[in-house]
Amino acid sequence: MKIKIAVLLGIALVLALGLKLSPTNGVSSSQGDEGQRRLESLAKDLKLDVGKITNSGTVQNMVGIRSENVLFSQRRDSRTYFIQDARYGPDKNAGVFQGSDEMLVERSRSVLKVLDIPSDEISKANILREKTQAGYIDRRTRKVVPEAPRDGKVYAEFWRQVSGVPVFSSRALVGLTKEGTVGFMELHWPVIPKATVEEGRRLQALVRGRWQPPSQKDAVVESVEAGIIHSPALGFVMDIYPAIRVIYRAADYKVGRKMTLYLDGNGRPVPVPRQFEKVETTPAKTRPRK
Amino acid sequence: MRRLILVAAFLLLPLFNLQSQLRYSTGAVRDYIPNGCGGPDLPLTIPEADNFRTWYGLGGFSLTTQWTNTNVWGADFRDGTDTDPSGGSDIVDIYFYTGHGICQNPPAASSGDFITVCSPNGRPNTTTIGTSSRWGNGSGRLKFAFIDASCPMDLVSISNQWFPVFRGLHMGVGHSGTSSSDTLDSVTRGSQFAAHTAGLPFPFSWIFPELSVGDAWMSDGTIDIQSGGCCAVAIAAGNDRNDAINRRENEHVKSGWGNPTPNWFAWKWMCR
Repeated sequence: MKIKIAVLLGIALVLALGLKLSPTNGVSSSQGDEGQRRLESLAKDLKLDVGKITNSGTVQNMVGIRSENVLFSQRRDSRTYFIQDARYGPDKNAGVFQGSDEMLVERSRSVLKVLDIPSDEISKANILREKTQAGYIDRRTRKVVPEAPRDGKVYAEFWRQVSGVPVFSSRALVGLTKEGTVGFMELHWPVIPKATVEEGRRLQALVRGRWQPPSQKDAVVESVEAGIIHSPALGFVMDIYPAIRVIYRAADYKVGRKMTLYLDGNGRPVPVPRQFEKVETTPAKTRPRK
Repeated sequence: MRRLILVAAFLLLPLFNLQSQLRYSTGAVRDYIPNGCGGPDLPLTIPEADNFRTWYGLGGFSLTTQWTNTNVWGADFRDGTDTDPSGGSDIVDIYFYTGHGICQNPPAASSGDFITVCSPNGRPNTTTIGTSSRWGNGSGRLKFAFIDASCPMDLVSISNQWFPVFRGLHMGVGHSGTSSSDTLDSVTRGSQFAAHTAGLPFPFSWIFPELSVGDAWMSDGTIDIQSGGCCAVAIAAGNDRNDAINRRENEHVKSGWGNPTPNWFAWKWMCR
């Protein structure tokens, strides 16, 4: 009850003050409207069954449109798109694409083309298959009774290179409905500055030459590859760095989660690409012993 | 008028969040060698947990503990000591662990799943999940166990290692793999999973893609893992078959669903 009163009072206060703050966080209304119109146009090109748009707007670095079933949004500071159709899935109305892997890849490529992804930047296409299973423990025999695994969603996943330099952090994940329209998509493919690509190529030359990764105690170098890293899809800033990725496996073969370093040409760590302007780090203090 | 409503929403956000204060903790272990354990170290775990917390902070969750390195204890994950108020994994609704696990090559149905920390306290440092972890029992309240290690949820042993731990727990996520097809140390995997599951409030909820726990892990759990058989795995318990499947497919961290009686289990996985 107290909360309801506070909410009503708050709304009344805001309306009374007539504040003119922009929810678009520095983006002008016309830019926001333009972004929404562009998404609506792209939705038509992609043959998305959006239906009646119930919400649209710009918040921070994102612009989007939403209907009862579909979300279609985009980052404004990166070539990054998100599509979710609530009807997508093996037991849902829109179903899951039933065509061949080749058809899934081909149709997904055409989606990327509509979104202006250069086809020569696609370095590899994978098929990722979700599998589902259920089971219980028979109380009488105490044995597990599993059902047979079933097929779930199927995704085409695309990896990226620019002028022969792999971009480790870019990815497109596309799931299609039984009709072949997009049921789920996360496409994160930011434009890479030319200078970064050139530095990436320089690092590739170093790796091909005498560059040696730093040795690590209890670890053995498994792979060394030069490329580009950048901030992930969901975030409020976009950092892009050329880097040499070194993957180590544990000398004790059992210890899992492989140490992975991103280094510059001098073997120093490159900064971790940010997701926020500022992240609160863990305060240094010691946990009291019992 | 729309702007005014938006502004009102921004100002009133904390009040709405009061209604959905789920508690969570993070545990991140970077330093293994400096603290006398077998390595290698994992320099990306702490920034991964930092970003996880930033997303969950935006989502309005209440942070309980955020221990790193030797302050993360093996005892935090074992029944009987996991309700330690200074950092046990069962004192919160959501626990995110990032650090080492142990893989077999290949695992068998009788193989264990492990969480491996490095601390002089709360030893032993390695916890066998299937025999030692029980979440949601007694005074425990854990509903979501997010384990971003390697091989803490091997498919071949999932019934032995994970069915017993559900004592109120709703869902767990982890990986199945081998020593040669494993997870990489990553900032992105856990933090983007947090972004997808945090259930950001209005007006972010208009635009930010939110996913169920199971779907988010299928998408984000496959980031920075090796090909050849490493899989993102999510498992849910349910009162019956349909409940377990519904939770696996549709439960969000903020769904507010009651604790299941673990009669059935439903899991899914996606391998690279």
